[in-house]
Amino acid sequence: MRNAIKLCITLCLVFLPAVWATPDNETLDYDTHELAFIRSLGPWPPVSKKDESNRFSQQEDAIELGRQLFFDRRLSLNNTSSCADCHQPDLAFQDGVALNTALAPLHRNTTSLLNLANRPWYGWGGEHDSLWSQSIRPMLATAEMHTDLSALQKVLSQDSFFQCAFQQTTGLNLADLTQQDLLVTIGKLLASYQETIQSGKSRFDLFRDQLVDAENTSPSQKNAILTAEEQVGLKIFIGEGRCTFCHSGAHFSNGEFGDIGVSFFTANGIDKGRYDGIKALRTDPYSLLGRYNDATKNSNDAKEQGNTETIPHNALRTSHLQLLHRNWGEFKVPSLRNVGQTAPYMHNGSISTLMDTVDFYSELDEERLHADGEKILRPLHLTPIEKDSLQAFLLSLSGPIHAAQEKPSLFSQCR
Amino acid sequence: MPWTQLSRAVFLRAVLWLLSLVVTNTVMACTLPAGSDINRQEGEFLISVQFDKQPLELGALHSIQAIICYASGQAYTGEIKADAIMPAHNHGMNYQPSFTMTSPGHYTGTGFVFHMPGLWRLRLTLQSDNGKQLIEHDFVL
Amino acid sequence: MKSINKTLKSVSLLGTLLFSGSFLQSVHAEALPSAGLMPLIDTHIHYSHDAVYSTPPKKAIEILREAGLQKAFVSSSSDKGTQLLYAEAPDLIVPVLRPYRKRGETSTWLHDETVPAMLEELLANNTYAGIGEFHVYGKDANLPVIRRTVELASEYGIFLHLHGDSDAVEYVFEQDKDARILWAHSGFDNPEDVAVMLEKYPNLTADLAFRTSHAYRGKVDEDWRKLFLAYPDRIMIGTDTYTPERWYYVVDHAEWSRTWLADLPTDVAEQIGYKNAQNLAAWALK
Ligand code: HEC
Ligand code: HEC
Repeated sequence: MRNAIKLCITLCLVFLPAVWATPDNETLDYDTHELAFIRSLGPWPPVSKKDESNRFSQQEDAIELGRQLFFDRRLSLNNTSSCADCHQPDLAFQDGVALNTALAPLHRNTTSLLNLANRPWYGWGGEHDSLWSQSIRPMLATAEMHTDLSALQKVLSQDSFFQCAFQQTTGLNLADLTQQDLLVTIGKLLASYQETIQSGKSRFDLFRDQLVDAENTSPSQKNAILTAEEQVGLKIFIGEGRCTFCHSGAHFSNGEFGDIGVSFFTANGIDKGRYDGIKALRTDPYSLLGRYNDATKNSNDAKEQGNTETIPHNALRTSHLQLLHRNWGEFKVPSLRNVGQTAPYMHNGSISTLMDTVDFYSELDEERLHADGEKILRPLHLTPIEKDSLQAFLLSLSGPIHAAQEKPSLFSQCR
Repeated sequence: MPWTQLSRAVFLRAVLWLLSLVVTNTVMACTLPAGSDINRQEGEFLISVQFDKQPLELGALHSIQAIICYASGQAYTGEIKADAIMPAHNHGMNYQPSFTMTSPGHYTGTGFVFHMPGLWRLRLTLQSDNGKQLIEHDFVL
Repeated sequence: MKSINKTLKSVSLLGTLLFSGSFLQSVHAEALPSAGLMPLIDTHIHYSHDAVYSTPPKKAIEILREAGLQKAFVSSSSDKGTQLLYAEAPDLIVPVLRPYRKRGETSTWLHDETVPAMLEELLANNTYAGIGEFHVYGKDANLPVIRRTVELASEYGIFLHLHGDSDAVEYVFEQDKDARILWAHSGFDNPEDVAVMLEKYPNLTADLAFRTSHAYRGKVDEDWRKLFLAYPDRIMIGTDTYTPERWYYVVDHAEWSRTWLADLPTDVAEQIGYKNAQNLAAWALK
């Protein structure tokens, strides 16, 4: 049966050039099951929502000050690098290399920073539960920015423009802050800026909108936005490939973690992925369970119940985590939006091209997976044409990238 | 103590006692609302479960409200253990839900994240003098 | 939103306390095993061909010692891995004979009629405490390859490390009521069902490899506690190193095991932690 379908797809594609030649793409037939899956991959963009753990979230001057900090090398030891040196705006906010070597060789691939607002977990192992605490990480990491906090505090306090802008934005006096408060505040400003780094509608989103519209109005079968090849790839993605088991929802990620059989040995040991991520979360003073979560203070509800030691609602996900054996070597299911621009791939950058990731899934090593019951992942053994289609579909997920731009006027009285 | 005072005290106490009976009975009387996501009898229990929203959202944190009564009309006030599994893949959630009783028979549970599409089985375990009662509810995400 | 707020109201104090408790524990768990720690025996270790390649025997033994293991039951696809480790540390390794030549024969081996001859030859030439871990479900346990495996275990007076459902376990006991079975992963059954099996078959023991439901944040689940207290002499722990990387999990797993074992009475913790496995190995290697 599978082979018959494959043959059909192959034959269809052989005769496809005729279709491609015309500007009008046919919409393939989708059954209700497929339509439901396609619908579930949107809408895009998501509704923007303030991060309650960060009181500066969505504040105009915090976004601008965060933007300045993002490009500021003074945040690192000896001014070696800024965030933007690894998260480069013209490379979809990543660095294009498998593993960066900042102050020392890293063992994880630099992630792109698109669409990070209001995600449940940050980092390949989900070591952090807020964008701001994740933004503190590189400053504390000796191999990355290795920030000398007292030196940083001194330098920034002596910069009268920065000091003034900081005061205006946060109401805090830089020189008076404890190092922890300084870190957290910088993290929250950086996060406010990063929330604005977003990708717009991709061709897939336009196609989805079209399909959803067609369901609601009278169907127009002509002029599909995706080519037939891309649509064949889409069908693999939501069907036989079972990609939407993990790369689900509008982000093309369920926000959780998985082990797809990528090796997690590092140059000199092992990357325990989610296992260490959960352990780190449980001891992190900057997690949402700690005192820096700005949502805590607003939760009077708990007091009404006479329950003072309560957990803020935005930390419930963190407090209910359980540590499982399978977490050992699981990594975050990455979003696939703009995936065509974020090579190399995987937590360790071990796969260099998008086609290689397709090959990886096609020839998956099942023995590495401890699957019980019906398997989610199994080698797909795709034909070359199917591989091309799947890749074409993945490439259709790119939308225009935008981020907050410079707004010098905001701090005009600090000049 | 003069007789009249004594009898008044007894009378007052009796009234208070009667009142308290009425009050506890209304609190303890356990009834299920209609139209919740799960509404059924299971062994000696009547159970109503309502998710915080429908349709459920994949990968999002969900909570549930449960009302649990004995068929006799008394409220269940014991512990609830909960998890959810995907029977086809033999795996559960990445989270351990917890329940709190807000008033007799009324519980709030949170920590539910269904992270994959497909058939999920919600499992609640209650403990009574007659042993354990497992309540299973299948739903598709 | 509204419902989230409602949830907030009712988060229990208990939950908070449990959480802060485990906070301390997880800090503690980071500590390296030292002389004062309870010894453990890990009954579920594989050292397959690719693990041999990525973690050579010397390093592998180092990891087992770092975990503070007194002994490790090792079975490998192919058996060569087990022999390499046994040669490196005979005091530490309890060799178990895996009927697979390479990883990935979990569902094919029981139809492979060349397996019994391979087992016979290896059993004749080497020392083993058991045969396994092998996979078999339901009626397949009556296939000739399994029958012969059960016979061989009986001939050599060694145990069977069986990964399968309770039906498979029952069929094997039908073939040989005196067989000794170490039930891998306790069949992934719930504690009540495991109890039924342990009650019915006195020669059945069970390992807890790859299971977490018995412990949450250092506390033993009440249903499992009942099982542990009812059958303290029948349960063992194990990691299951099913990929090369998982070798490094042995250390974390030992630390994790010690945290929840500490929530049991000391004598029961010692039985589950190592004494039961010690007895099983002693019986097999007499
Ligand atoms: C030396 C290169 C480097 C520098 C400098 C750097 N990063 Fe990163 N960034 C990485 C790497 C590598 C990862 C993946 C880390 C992990 O998973 O543990 C990452 C991950 C992230 C993530 C997580 C994204 C996600 O999808 O979960 C955020 C947010 C982030 N960085 C923000 C920043 C900010 C803000 C700065 C500046 C304060 C910064 N980074 C500086 C290399 C860098
Ligand atoms: C079981 C969950 C799961 C399924 C099913 C799944 N993936 Fe993934 N995917 C992941 C995880 C987890 C990673 C990251 C793994 C790592 O870094 O070790 C990933 C990584 C990727 C990447 C690399 C992205 C990047 O930025 O590094 C691509 C591309 C990808 N998957 C595409 C697919 C396609 C196409 C399918 C269907 C054929 C699929 N995935 C099915 C979980 C899954």
